[in-house]
Amino acid sequence: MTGEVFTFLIGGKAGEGVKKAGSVAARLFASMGREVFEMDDYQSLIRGGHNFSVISTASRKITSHYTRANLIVAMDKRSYELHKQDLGEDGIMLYDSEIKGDLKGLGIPLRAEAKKYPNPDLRLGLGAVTVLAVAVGMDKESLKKLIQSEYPRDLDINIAYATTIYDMASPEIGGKFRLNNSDKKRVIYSGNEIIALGAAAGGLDIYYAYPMTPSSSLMHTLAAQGEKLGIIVVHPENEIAVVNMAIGSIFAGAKSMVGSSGGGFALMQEGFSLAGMLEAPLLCCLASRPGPSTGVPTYTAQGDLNFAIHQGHGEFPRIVASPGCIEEAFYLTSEMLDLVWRFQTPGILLTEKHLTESSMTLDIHINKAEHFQPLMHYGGEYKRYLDSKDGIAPLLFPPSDELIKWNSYEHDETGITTENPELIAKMQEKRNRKKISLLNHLKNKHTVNIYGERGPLIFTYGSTTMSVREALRAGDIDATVVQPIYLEPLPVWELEKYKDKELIVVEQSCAGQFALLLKEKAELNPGSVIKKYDGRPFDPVELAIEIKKAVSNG
Amino acid sequence: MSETQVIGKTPQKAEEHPMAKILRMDRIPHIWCSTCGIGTALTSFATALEKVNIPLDHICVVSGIGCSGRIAGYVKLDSFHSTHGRALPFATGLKLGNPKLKVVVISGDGDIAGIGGNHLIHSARRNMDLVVLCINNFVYAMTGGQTAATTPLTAITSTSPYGNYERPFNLPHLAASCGAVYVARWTCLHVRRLAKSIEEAINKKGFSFIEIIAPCSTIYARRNRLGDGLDLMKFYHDNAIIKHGADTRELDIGYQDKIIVGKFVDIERPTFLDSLNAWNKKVLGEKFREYGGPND
Repeated sequence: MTGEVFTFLIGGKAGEGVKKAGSVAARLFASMGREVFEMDDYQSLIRGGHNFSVISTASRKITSHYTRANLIVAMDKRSYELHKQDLGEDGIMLYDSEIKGDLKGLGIPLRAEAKKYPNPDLRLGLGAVTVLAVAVGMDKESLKKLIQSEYPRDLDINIAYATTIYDMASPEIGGKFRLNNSDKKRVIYSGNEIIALGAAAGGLDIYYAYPMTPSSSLMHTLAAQGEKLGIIVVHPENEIAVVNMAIGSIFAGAKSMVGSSGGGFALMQEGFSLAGMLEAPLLCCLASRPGPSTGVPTYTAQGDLNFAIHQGHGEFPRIVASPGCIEEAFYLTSEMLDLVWRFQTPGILLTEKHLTESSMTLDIHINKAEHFQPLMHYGGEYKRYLDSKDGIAPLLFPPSDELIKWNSYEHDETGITTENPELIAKMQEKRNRKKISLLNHLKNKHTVNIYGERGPLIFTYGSTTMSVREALRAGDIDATVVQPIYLEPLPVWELEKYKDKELIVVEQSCAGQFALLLKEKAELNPGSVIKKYDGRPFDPVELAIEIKKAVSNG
Repeated sequence: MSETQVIGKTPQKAEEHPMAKILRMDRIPHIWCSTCGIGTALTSFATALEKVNIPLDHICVVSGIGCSGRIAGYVKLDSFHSTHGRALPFATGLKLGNPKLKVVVISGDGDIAGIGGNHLIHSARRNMDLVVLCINNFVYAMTGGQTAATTPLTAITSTSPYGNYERPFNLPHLAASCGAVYVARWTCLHVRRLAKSIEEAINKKGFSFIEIIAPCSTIYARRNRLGDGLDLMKFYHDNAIIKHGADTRELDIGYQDKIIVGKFVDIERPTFLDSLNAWNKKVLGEKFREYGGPND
C-alpha cells in the first residue's frame, strides 16, 4: 500500500531554511489536492545542528510521515550520510554538488548557484523546493506563483535562482514522479496552530505561558494571531507566575489557558492544585518531550501520562484528554475549555511533540467547536462554594454587590477559612460530587475513538494513534484501533467489553504507562506492548512489522 | 454557641463600629496576637478606603499565606486568599482579566519578598497597576519564627539561634530599582501617615509599594527580648526618622537601629496595559482595538 505514498526528505544544517522548505513542500502537495503529513526533526542546538523535514503525501488519508523516501535533498555531507539509508527503491538522492566523496545520486549546484547572490544560505531551501517541483512535474509558471507567496523577500533574486536550478535539474529528473492531483484543497496546520484555533473557537480570552519546547509554538501562534482572534498573550517571569496569573484572570471571569512541557508544568503543580481547591476552570496544554528533567527538548515521548493524571497534591477532580490526531486537537481543545468551565475544575490537554509540531492537511468545521456559557449566580446572597447537589456552585465575578471570596485554605460555602471537621468533610464531598457529575456527563459524550471493526485489538492514545493508523494502511493490516480520548476519568464504561479480549498496546513510553493504566483502571489485559522511547515517532512500515509480530505471537 | 444573655437594663443599641463598612464584623474577634501590627495596618487600609473615590465593589484584595495573608477573610471586599508567595501573579492576572478593578495585595515580607521575590521584581518592572502593602515583621511568624529575607543582621530567630548572618533586603530600594512608581515605608506607629500613604497609592496608577514595619511581640520581639507591644511602639517613636524623598540606597534596616520612613518615590511611568495599548496602536494603527479586558 506504500506505493501510493510519496515521501520527500530535506536535510541540512540549522539556519539553512530546512524547516521553511519542508513547510513549503507540504503546501505544494496540498495545492495539488493531496493529503499531506509533515514531520520536522531538529536538534536543541543554536547553530549547525542537523535539521530535516519529512513530508509524506498520498491521494488518500495519511496520518504519518514515512522514513523510506522517494526523493531526498541533502544540503550537506552529514545529511547525505545520515539519510542515504532512507532512500527507497527507485528513489532519487540529490545532493549539493559541493559535497565531496564517493556519492551515489545526482549533484546539483545548489550552493554554487546561490553564491552568485547575496546571503546564499537564504537561497538553499528554495533550491530544494525547486528540485522537488521539477521532480513532480510542476511547470515554471506554477513554481513562480509558489515563490511569490512563499519566498516574497528578494523576489527577483529568488525567481532567477530558482529558474537556473529548474533548468539544470529538468533534463535529469523532470517529471520523474507523476503524482495524482485532485480538486480538494485543504488547509495545513500543525498541532499547536490548530490548538490555538480550537481555543479561540472555545472562547479563550488570555493565554499565559513561559517558553518551553514543544509547547512554545502555541504561544507563538497565539501571539501572532491574537489581535485577530481577540486573545492576549502574556509571557511572565516563570511558570509559577503563569499558572497563578491565569487563575487570577479566571477570578475576573476571563477564559484563560496555560501551556508548557514537563519541567515547566512541574512548576505549575502548586497552581494546579490551587485551581482544584478554588474550583477554578483552568485549562493547561501539556506538550510532552522525553524526560526526566530537561530530557530531550525537541523530540517526542509519552512519558508524562502518569504526571498528567496525578498532577497536583490533594484530592480533587481533574480532566485529562489527549487528541489522537491533529484534527481532533481542534475540537478537543474547545471541548476541554467547555468541560473545565462546566465543572469548574482544572483540566489538561495532553499532547506530544509529534502532535504539536507535526503538520497535516485538515477539514475543520468551526461550528462543531464547543463554547460553554458558565453557570452564573443571579440575585440573592452569594455563596462561592454553595454545597449544591451536583457539587457545582454558580459563578460570580467582580465587580458585584455580593462578596466573592476564593480561598486556597479549606473554606466554608462563602469561602472563609475553616478547620471545622464537619465543614472539611463536607467540602471534600462537594468537590468529589463534581467528579460524579463529570462522569455522568462524559457517559453521554464521545470519549473513545474506534477505528475498524474486526481483527486484532490495538489500544493506543495521543499522537501514537496517528502512527498506528498509518501502520495499518502501510502493512495492509485489518485491525481495530481503540483510542481513549479521555484518560482521566478513563471511560471504563466504554472499555468494559474488551475485558477478556486479547489486546496489543502501542505507546511511546519505556515503562508502558498506558498499558498499566488500562490494567489498573479498566482491568484490561494487554498481551503485548509495543513501545518506542528513543524520542522519535514510529515509522509506519516498521510499526506494521511489529504489529504483525505481536499478532502472530498472540 | 449560646446567645449572650443580658442581665439588668436593656443596653442601648451599640454604635456601628467605624470600620464596619470595610470589615466583616461577624468574623471578629480576629486571630492575630494582641499587639500585632497587622490589625493596625488593616485599620489604616480601611481609613484610606473611606477617603478614596472608588466604589468598594471595584476593589479586590489579594493576599498570600502567613499572618498577614489572613486579612483577605476579614475584609468586606471581594478577596482572594492565594497560595504562599503567589499573591502578585494572581493579582496581575486579575487586573488583566478586568482592568477596571482596583487590585490591592496585602501580604507579609516572607510572602512578597521571600518566596514571592521573583514575582515582586517582575511586577515592579512591568509597572502593573497594583497596590502592594507589604507588612514586614522581620520574621516568618506563622510558621514558627524562622529567618526571613528581611531579618536584620544579628537578630535571633528559630533558625538563627546565634543570630542572623544573612544580609536582609532593603525592600523600598528593591521595589524602586525594579521600577515601582510609588514607594513608601511607615511603621505601625504612623497610622495616620500610613493611611494617607495608602490613599495616595490607591489613587496612583502603576505599581505602588508600601512597606509597613510591624511589631511581632509573640515571636520576633520575644526571642530577641525586645519587650512587649508598648516597648516596640516606643522603639518606633524613638528610632523612626521621617525623611521624604530619601535615597533608597540608604534605607537598610539594622538590628535595633534607626528606621528611615517616608515617601521615597512618586513618579509617573506608563503601566503594563498603557504600554501594551500605546505600542500596539502605534504599530498596528486604527485596526488595533484597545485592550480593556475580555468583556470590554
